[in-house]
Amino acid sequence: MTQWDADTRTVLAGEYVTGVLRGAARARFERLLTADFALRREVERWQEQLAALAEVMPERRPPPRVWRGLCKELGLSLRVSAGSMWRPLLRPWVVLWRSLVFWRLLGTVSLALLLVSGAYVYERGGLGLASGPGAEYVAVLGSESGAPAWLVRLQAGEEQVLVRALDSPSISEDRSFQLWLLPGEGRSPRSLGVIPARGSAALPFWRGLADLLARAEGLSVTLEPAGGTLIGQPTGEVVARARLIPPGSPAADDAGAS
Amino acid sequence: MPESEDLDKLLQGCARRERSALERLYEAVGGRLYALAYYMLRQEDLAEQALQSAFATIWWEAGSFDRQRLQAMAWLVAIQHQHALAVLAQQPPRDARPGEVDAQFGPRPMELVLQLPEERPLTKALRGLTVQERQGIVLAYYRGFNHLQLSLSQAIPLPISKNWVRRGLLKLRRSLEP
Repeated sequence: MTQWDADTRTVLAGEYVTGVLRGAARARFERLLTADFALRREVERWQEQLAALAEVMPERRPPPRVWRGLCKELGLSLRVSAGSMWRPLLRPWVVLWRSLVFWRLLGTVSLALLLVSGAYVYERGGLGLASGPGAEYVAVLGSESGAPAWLVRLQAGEEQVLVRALDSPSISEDRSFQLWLLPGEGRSPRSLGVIPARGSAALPFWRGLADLLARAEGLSVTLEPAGGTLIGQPTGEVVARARLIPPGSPAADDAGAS
Repeated sequence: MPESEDLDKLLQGCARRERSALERLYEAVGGRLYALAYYMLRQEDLAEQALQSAFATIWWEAGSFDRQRLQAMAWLVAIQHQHALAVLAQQPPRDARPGEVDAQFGPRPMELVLQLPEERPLTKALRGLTVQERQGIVLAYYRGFNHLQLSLSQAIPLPISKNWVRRGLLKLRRSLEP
């Protein structure tokens, strides 16, 4: 909670939504938003009330290149694709995924590796296939204390992102943990979705993710308002992260061997 | 204006990563969001950039949209507005003097705001402000003016200009939520 009075909170939220609040002050406000649910509600009230300002101008048709650029950016085909991209969970590794023994074993291995190199992501190369369509990445996201907090499996072949909470930090009800892919090459993080503090979850695997994975720097988890951030970029503090070691690097080989 | 429930459904489709939902959403609101970006940025390439990045965010974040907290169109407009501001922030500052707006970009913000539909609560609320208070809010929203640009455009010291914005916002809120 911030110590501003109610009027100041209303005004700052309004300044944020109208856009008059800029630069460092805007960035500070966005950080406060993640910790202050009531302030976020204040922002949403202004967004609702001021949206009418966008209704007065006549519609303007964007040139077709924007849609093409968007499809390219999102890794979508230009033509309409039929059916769902998701496949059912049927493969044997799902059974393995649910096996407690597997997790204990992997947890032990992970912890040992964490002690050596901090958090990491390694590839489990199937039949020597490095970053091809069937590549599978397993990431152990370590919290600040070094404890493994989440385990993430990114299976390009199965088009699944599976997350299991191990020893994740505690969280209040008005906040969520959000998982991000750090694409590298100076590009901004991409949301993989909101992840649970306990138990496991399957997140959607979007098209284009496999390509990004091959060049990504790593993963991170941030603390966001309940349901995830509204602005498409992380706003809260990073609570866990993992570095992405490129397939074929010595570290990845070590990890694969153990 | 598309029906809110339809937009809700399309956003749910986007959250499930259905390409057709994104395409229909783009058809439904792309022209409106592009108009906002173009009006704010006044340059086609910049507006296109802002539209594309806004729709990328809409696609990635559709799963976090919560219609209990915000209506779909307001959520979409807010994302587009933020992305246009972000594009603007990368540009060299524009001349903030009043009357500089080229006619080809349509009516000036203060004229545009008079065209708001009568039945909108915001219309009445904005009319209850002084010209200076209204100017602060309107120029910030449509032109992306920050506090400093605002005080330059109004040719008054920064603290006075800031205070007008503050008073304007508080009056608006009291009028919208009596």
